[in-house]
Amino acid sequence: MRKIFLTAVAVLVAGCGEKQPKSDFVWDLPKGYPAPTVPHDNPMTNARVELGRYLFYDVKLSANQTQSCASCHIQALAFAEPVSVSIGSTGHSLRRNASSLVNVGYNRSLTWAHPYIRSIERQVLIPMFNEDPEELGITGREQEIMQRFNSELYNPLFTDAFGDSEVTMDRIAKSLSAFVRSLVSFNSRFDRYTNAGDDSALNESEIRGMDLFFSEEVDCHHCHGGFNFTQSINEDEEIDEHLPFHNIGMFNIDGKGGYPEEDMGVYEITRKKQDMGAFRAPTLRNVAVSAPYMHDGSMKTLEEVVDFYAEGGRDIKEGPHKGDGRENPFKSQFVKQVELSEQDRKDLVAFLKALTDEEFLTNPKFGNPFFQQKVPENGDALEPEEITESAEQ
Amino acid sequence: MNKLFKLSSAGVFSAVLASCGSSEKVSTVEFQLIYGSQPLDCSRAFEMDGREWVLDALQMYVSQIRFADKEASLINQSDKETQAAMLGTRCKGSGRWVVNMKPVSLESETNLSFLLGLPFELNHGNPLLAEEPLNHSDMFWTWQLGHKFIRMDVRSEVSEEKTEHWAFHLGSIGCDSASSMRAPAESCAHANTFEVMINDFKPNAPVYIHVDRLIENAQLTKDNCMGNPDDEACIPLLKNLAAESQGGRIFSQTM
Repeated sequence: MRKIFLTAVAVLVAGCGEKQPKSDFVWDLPKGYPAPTVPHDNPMTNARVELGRYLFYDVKLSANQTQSCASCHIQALAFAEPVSVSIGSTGHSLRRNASSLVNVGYNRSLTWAHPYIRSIERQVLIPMFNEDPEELGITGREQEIMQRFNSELYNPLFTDAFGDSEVTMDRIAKSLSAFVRSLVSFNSRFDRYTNAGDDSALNESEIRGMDLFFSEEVDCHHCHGGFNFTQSINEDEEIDEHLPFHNIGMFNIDGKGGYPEEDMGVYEITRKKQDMGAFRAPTLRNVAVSAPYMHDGSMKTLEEVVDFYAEGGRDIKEGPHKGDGRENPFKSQFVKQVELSEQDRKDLVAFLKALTDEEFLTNPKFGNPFFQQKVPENGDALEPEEITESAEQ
Repeated sequence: MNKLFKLSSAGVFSAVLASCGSSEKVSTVEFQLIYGSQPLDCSRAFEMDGREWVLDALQMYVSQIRFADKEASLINQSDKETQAAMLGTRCKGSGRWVVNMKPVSLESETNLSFLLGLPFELNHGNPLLAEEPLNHSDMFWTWQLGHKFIRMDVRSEVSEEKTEHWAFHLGSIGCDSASSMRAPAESCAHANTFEVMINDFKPNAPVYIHVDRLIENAQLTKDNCMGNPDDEACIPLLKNLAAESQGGRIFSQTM
């Protein structure tokens, strides 16, 4: 019955929107793995993914032409960035660490702490239009920016993706989203050990680390479980709305569970006390290359992260954030002190490092198209460092 | 501003000519900014908390405009019927101060009411495909999956080197409505829309927006208000707006 209803809705929706192309995109997934959820109004096509890839790497998308999406999302680092928090195109600091873009198409919600942003199409509006602080800084500059893509390079890309060469912000957002959705990674040594049955893919230390990771005592898998190493996936309807978000005891400023005013996690959105300090458990795939860690990028190494969880949180002894996060009343039941030997810690880190998918980090399909092709004469493919226009502010 | 004012006066005038008996036809409502009893615009400073402040922006959405129980059909800048109107300025031009609508016949002593902000059904579509006036990106509120209902940005030049800013951005917060395929479990933690009631509306007079009454008791030298009713900075602002349903004080036809 439910299925019939959904079909009826889909027909209605398709009836009043623009005609959508048929998907010709082939997901590169291990056998039996589900494909990410794709919104009905943005089917995956190779042309949209390819246009999105160009846009993702093009500094023309920022108002002052100094940054592209790739400035903060670097392929070799699993599309994360090696600084604690990002800096927008106008030089202003953001408050959070740039998320890695690995299998985000599977996410039930996007960004670090927002239960209601459920599609990449919605998420991408934030870096595009945010004004406080500005990231790409598009607000109020749309016409000028869209005009930049009315070019010899982009006209055929838009035509292939959308049927004609018209540039709109909605087409830009949709193709960026299609590209980001295409970033799937399932070819780590862990996958070769698990799926391909290759016993030599993991060494002894990594196997011990894996056993600890999935053990009930160490309990990493409750929040970082499943094929994508996060419970924040869109697949399981049974998962409670807020389960993907966890307070892990990083702060306890007032002794009542308070997180710093500059970032209180999901609480900022829902205004529910129990969501104080709750952030989404990110995927651990490629985690070894996406340092630093946590929403504020405050932990520099995986060793530091493992020590943090072994302690069951963090006791900050002095400064403005003083307080024992281990005693945070909103802390997840799965974050608790656990005794780990030095060898255990080394094994866990070794296992996390075995989640790196080297092919993903270097796959030219996900790479910068401007470095892979001849630069056209009209200057469409200027390399970021060749652009000298300075930031406005 | 002048041009718009003339246009709207002409509209009102022709509407009056077309009237018969005690009913009048109205096709525009004009708004004017006031601070104290003086007109306010981006070139005039106002004083608050011992400082001089200048507007960088004051924009808002209004919807559900009703004369008594008759809901007006609003017309946007592309001459299309729409469900919301934008008022205000970003201080780059003269701004927009007139709400256009299909002519409505008014009896005398009619009340004018409207919603300051956007109802849930209007607030959460894809903003990149929204029709004017919901397509203005400076009113997008991407973090909240909707639009800002009020955007007031002011600055105060404290010294030659130092300028302080204060902002009041209001919109619905904590709304679960990202998916068009799924009914929201609950609409919003805080809708932050406000009913405004203007008793005995006079169609040939403007509605004044008393900015001093909007920000009464707010502390512009302290924190911004981003629409959270629990924040100290928002409490006086939301209280001022909540009182509007009892008869407009911020929105009023008297100076």
